[in-house]
Amino acid sequence: MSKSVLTIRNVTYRYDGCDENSLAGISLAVHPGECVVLTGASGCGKTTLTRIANGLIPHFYEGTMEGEAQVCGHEITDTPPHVLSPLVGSVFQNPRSQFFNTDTDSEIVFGMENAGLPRQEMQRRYTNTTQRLDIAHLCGRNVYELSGGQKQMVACAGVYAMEPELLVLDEPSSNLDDVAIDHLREFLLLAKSMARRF
Amino acid sequence: MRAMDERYKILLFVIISITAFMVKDLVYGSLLFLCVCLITFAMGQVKLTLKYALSYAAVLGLTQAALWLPGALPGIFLMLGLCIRMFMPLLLYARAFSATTTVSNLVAAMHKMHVPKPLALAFTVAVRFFPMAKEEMDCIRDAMRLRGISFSLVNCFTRPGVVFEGALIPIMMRAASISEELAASSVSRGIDNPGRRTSYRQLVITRRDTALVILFSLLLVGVVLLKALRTGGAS
Repeated sequence: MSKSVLTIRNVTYRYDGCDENSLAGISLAVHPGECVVLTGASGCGKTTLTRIANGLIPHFYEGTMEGEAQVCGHEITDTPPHVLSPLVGSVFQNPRSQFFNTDTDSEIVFGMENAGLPRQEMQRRYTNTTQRLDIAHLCGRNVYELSGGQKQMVACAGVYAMEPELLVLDEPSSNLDDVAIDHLREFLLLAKSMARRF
Repeated sequence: MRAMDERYKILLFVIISITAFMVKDLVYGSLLFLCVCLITFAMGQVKLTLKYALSYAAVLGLTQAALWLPGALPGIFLMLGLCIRMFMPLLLYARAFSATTTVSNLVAAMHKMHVPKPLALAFTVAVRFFPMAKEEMDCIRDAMRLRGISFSLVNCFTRPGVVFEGALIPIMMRAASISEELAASSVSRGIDNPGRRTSYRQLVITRRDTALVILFSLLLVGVVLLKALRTGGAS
């Protein structure tokens, strides 16, 4: 079996200011091309686990972590978030609060700009992304004009353009209607076919 | 239409901020407002400019009409009018700025101007605030209407407690969660990368931009100088 892109070994985690552990002794390995779905009751730690997978824990959310977690070969505790950001693409639950930009084009290229990719490469990936995800109709728009489903597709496009090793989606469909969920499913199938995972 | 290069827009913002507080009397303050109207007009914000010009005229008219009122009322209205008039040029320009500037261009412009990153980020988030606040307010207003409380002037006076609760509490809660979610999303996409940042769009200063900025800067400073000459330097 190929090397795993995400390895979590016996991790216990507690947010600062909380009395209970959010995760207790969890282990998990995800391999290229695998799509893993986390299910469970509200508050059982699904989101916390995704935050470990994208490195927001321990660098953004503060708390105490025991155990080991490796993302694409990087130990998350010693890796700053900007090293992980080209490797891990994250789409969050709320389409309204994950956009830094006010127009869709800037949003799609935002991650690439931060990573310092040359302009030509950005243009190539931008064109490729909009074609593969079939979102030409969403280009050059104001994000405040878009529906929740359209916003989520733009978020996916921003992630896709980064060509990450690992995709982390935290309840991406919870605010969407059936049609938008279908688009999201197609996106996941496309990502899976390219051996991008989670 | 492309409004103007972002670097020039920032320069004008600084000049307007300074001059708007140097002249605020009826004649010269209005002259300054007129200059700002010309600027936003040149930036292609025709509708916005007209809206603000009309509001400005209305405020002027009301404060003049209030002079006929008895007792201390004219004074109060004059004060109120002055406060509103003083901020209108700034507000108009800020709205036009926000409407014509994409966040990525703004970040790129400040990067080129060697503005320190934390300052650039703070400024960017401030510009981004207007459209986002509007979107949130629209949602909250819908939610309030659903509960049978409309956000109207009448309700503000007759049931202030209910309106307060229905509007302010969600605003505070949303502000807290949005800032956290937005920061998480930005961090996960590498915003705190200390290395060089590139930009997708290329910023270009055209001759038209330069000509406009020189013209408008002269106009704004001219109003201040004119006032100083006419009134013998006292403000």
